[in-house]
Amino acid sequence: MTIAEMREALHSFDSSGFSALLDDLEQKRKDAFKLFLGVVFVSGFVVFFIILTQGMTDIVKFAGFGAVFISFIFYRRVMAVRKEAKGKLMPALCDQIGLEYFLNPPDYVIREFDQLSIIPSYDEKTLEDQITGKVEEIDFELLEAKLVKVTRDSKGRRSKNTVFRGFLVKFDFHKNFSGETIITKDHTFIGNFFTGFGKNGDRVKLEDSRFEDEFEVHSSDQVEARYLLTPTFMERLLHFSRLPNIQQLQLAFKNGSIYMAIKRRGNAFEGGSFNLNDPKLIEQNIRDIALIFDMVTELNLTQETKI
Amino acid sequence: MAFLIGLAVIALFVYILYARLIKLKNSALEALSSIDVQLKKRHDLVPNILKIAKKFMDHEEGVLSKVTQMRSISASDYDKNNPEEVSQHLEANKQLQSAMMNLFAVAENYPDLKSQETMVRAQETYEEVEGHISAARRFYNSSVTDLKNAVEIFPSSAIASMIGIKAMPFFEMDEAERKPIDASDYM
Repeated sequence: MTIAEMREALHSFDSSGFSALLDDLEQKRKDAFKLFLGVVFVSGFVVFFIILTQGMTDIVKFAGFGAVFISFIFYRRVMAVRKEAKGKLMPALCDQIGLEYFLNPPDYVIREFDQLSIIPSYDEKTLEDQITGKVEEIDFELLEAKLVKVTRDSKGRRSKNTVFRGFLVKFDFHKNFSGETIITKDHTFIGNFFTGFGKNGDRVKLEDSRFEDEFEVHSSDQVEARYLLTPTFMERLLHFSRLPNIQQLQLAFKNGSIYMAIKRRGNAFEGGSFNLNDPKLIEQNIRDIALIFDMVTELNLTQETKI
Repeated sequence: MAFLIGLAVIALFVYILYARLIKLKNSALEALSSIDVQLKKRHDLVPNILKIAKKFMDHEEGVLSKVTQMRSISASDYDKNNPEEVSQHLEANKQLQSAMMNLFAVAENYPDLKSQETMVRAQETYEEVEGHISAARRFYNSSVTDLKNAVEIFPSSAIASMIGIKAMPFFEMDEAERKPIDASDYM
């Protein structure tokens, strides 16, 4: 299938077979949401009542935590219904264009991105929505990741900070190479000096000043890095990194593949509507899947010329 | 005492400049070697392409002999420390590339040659080698720029002239030759 054929097949997805299922799930979601609102109201009322009768004592703190905890448990039921809808819909959408979908990818898929240092260090991770397959004979793997760093302040209080949310993508690359080339965000002269210590290979100084302003390149082979990063490919990377949805792009070449960590806004494959039976949900999921084609075409990953 | 400290500081400064110049020169020589590695690949590939082309292009003796002649010249030994000889070596390889481009252009007039599986594969390999040469050339030119800046800008220029370090020539392509070769354009 060509990209144009895949796009057409995706957009002509017949969702009528899912109508009954999505209606059912929407009803379940509504019921779960009503229950959640009820729990929030009751537990809020209980906390308010305790404040009125007992004043601001420790028991209020305890009741407050309890209310939040119980509300969270009921909110998870709402999310579970949404997840169930996604788990039914996404495999069908991917199957339509010959791709495979896994709701919960295994942990090891992030290891290579970790080793290449194109994602920030983290303490907790959430991996979901893995799509694998071929686009015009180019093998690829894509998954969505949320990485969280846990820090403690001087008083030992724990706080969580999301350091990465976006796609981790691996595509076969059309050139033969044996070394390792890593392209990370430029951190200015002083920042690069300190971040450069942890990187494998030597710094590669490229002739495109705009590319140099945005990225920092390290490679185990100076010639190979330039073989991969031709002036045209650097131009494409710059253009791709400036697309509205993309906050940050870091990538690496290793073992015949290109690895990309694409930091972006929002959660993908979650639909464009709160209601599960809204047609916008499928439309948004189709748009999210089509991002894979945008990556291939923007970076021209199917090109055969080696120059 | 102050005089001795001042002298030591000056000596250290001169040494740093000297060490930097040597490092830059060695880096440029290393880059030149990496070009030669890639040029050798092209040099080895050319006879295979000529062998296939000769079967079909027997009326193009001039084109074929030009490639043979340029291949022979481009393989001559040269002194890497002599900018003049380096320049001649790089120029000879530019001429070889021109001759090869001309050969592929003329090959378009021979449909039987274009459809030959071995020729298609040879041309794909040639295209990949050209990609590596281009990358090596960029690495070399980047190293030469650093060396040239150090050799021409004071105070390292003074040290460079004292120890005889000279800037090396750039390996530049003509505008027409910069265009990427796409096998499908020819085959």
